[in-house]
Amino acid sequence: MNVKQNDHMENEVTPKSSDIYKTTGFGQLGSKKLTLLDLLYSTIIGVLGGIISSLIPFSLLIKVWYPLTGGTQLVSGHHVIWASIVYGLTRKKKTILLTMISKGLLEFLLGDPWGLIILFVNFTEGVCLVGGFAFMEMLGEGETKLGWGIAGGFGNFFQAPFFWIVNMRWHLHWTLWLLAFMFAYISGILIVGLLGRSVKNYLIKAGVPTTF
Amino acid sequence: MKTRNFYILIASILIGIITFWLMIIAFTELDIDPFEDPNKITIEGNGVSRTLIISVSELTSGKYDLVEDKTFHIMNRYETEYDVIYSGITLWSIIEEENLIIQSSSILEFRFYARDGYSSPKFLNLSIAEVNPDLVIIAYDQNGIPLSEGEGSLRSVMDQSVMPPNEYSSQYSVQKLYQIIINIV
Repeated sequence: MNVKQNDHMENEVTPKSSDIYKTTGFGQLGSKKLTLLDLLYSTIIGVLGGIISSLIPFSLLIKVWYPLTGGTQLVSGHHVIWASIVYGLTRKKKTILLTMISKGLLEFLLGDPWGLIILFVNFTEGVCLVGGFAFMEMLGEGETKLGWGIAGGFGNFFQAPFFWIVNMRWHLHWTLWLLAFMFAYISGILIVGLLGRSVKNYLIKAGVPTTF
Repeated sequence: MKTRNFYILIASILIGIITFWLMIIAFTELDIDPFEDPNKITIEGNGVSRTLIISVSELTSGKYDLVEDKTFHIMNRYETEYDVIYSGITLWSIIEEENLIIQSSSILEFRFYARDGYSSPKFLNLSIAEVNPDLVIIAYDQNGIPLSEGEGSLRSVMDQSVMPPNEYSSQYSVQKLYQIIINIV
């Protein structure tokens, strides 16, 4: 019995001090099944994101100083940051999709001018973010700032070309198109990726239970 | 690790340089002056007798026909419809009061331009503004609140009912309005 216990202890990898998280009992040791807490995080943070995205005019932060149309893409990352925070707490990609669907539903219910299409946009942004994280994990950058930044950029990029194409803004100058798309990606890096990662780290340090 | 950070730095600098030059090209080709007075609009083009520069205070002085707290029916390109309450001055009353045109409105067309590089998609026939003066306005107030500096103190507003087929009023509601071009068709 004692020998078995010693073997077990030897096999355990000693974590780095930065990787020590509070033991909560919510983890499933690598299981991909969603826990109740995963569902609660996804829906609560998704609903919170939907309310904040719909009702707070973040675009005014840009419009007062940036003189060209499309500049509001610089703050568009606030639409997707919620999903990256939830992913950081759960490390399950399904929660990204659940969060974005909850957020999209809230935006639809709050009377978004795009109607049900906003649900599709949120879902697709979630799929892009999942793709971004999966790609970064393949490259071994799943937990680095660079990896989160690039994944966040992927997640936030979809909506800018989508809305510009749906609105058929062909008559606008090509530089405005290019700048809007670049700003969408940069916003994804800074807000969805880097800010999302920082918020996630602070939440974990503050004692918010993780589920991985 | 240091090499990787160096590459990230180089990529960031490159993106910064590209963004800077794209903005310079946009400013020069679109002839945008970011320091221009945001409270003035210009009406010009080969369809008007003279160029008119008009300020918000002149617009609201009572000289022109006022549309107050009128509900405008707006439709976007996805054909979602919604109502917004605007107050403003009818475009036609400005044209009429200032004797800006000498030809019939049916052979003239107009288009709205914003100071941020946006413009309404197409020129529309000016007779739309003459026949429906209350439905084509220069708004300064939305839902009882004056338009903000950030959104622009003036915006064009057109009701969906006066839009030609396959045109959407949301795209002709131009924020940060600074120029209306009136040309001969």
